[in-house]
Amino acid sequence: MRVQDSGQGEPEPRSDASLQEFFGRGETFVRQLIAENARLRSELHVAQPQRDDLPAPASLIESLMARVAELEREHEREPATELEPEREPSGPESAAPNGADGDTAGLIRRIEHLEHESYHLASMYVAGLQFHSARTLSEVLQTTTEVLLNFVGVGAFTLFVLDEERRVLFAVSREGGELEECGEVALQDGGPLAAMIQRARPWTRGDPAYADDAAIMYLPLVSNRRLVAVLRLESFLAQKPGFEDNDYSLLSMISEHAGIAIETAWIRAHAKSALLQRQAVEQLVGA
Amino acid sequence: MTDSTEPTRRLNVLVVEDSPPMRKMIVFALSRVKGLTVNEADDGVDALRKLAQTRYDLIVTDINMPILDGLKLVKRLRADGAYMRVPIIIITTEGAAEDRQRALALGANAYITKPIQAPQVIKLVKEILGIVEDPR
Repeated sequence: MRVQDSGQGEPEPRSDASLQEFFGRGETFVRQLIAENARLRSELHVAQPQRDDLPAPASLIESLMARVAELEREHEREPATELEPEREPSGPESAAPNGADGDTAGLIRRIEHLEHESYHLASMYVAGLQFHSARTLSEVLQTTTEVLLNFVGVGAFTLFVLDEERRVLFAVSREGGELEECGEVALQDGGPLAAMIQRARPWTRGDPAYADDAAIMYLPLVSNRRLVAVLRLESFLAQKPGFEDNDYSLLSMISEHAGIAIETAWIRAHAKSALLQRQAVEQLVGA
Repeated sequence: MTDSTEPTRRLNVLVVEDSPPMRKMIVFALSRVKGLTVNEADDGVDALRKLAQTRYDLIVTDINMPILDGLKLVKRLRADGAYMRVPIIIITTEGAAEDRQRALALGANAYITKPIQAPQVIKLVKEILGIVEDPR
């Protein structure tokens, strides 16, 4: 049997007797350590009797390990993702502390997110209602202006109406510039505006901007599947850096509802004034 | 959210805005704050009429309005004993620094540019009126 030394030089051969002597001395030393430990503990008990409830080192480690395991299980069970809102722009207050404070902060952020969504839906509803209650073309234009300025933050734009026969767009309203400066826009075959007409549906997020000039985008205003007008969005208000997430749904709503409102105002302007009569209504609905 | 300390009397807020959708949105947002009664005016002249009829604790006004604009309204109110110290919040599309300075110099207490975030307006109104928010 060979026992290696500390690595310095050649291993030194040892007999069984010397090994027994070595382990015997070790055992004696361990017993002395245990006895010394018992003496120190007894002295500690005399000096600090209130600490008698302290667990022994082994049980202390066990209890700590058990607590770690318990916390890990709690962490796995914790429904953190349910409390997490969709990411809002981060700020100093959005850094969630741990524990109960973290839960409260998460709930507050969730509530704030839901309130933000609630106001966005309310703005969609209010704007939609405003378009559908417009009776004249000027009321539609006014509503369009108010929604773009106040809700989206677009400061300069021009509304063109489509002349289907001549295949041109002609300007009828402008914000942030002179209307006279706007000429007609021809719908050239193969151009982005012709593609807009081909698509024949309201604009939705992900659709092209259709702009081949300095404009931000050309927003089609559609009634049913027919293009009736186009909004050229030219610049944002100074304090608005660009479109935000909710702006796209507002643009989509304008694309659909402003188009319907323009056509309704057009029909109303050209319809013969008539009283609302039950017989006529029933005939129309086939009752 | 709930308010732990609802005011002992309801506080009156007047929203002065000529744009119907914007006015509706501000009224909708502020009406959700407990303890507030929110009324609306179409422009500065309509606002003066309503301010004479009812005592208001806060005025939220646009700048660009027909007949009597928001800055003239602020000037008139600050010269009026009854509304000399009533808080006024400006909500406007005018984002230039000089517009803000002018409004504050005339006596407005706060200046917010459009497009607004409704929670931001609510937070400001609560701060000005001392309504404490309970996060529970």
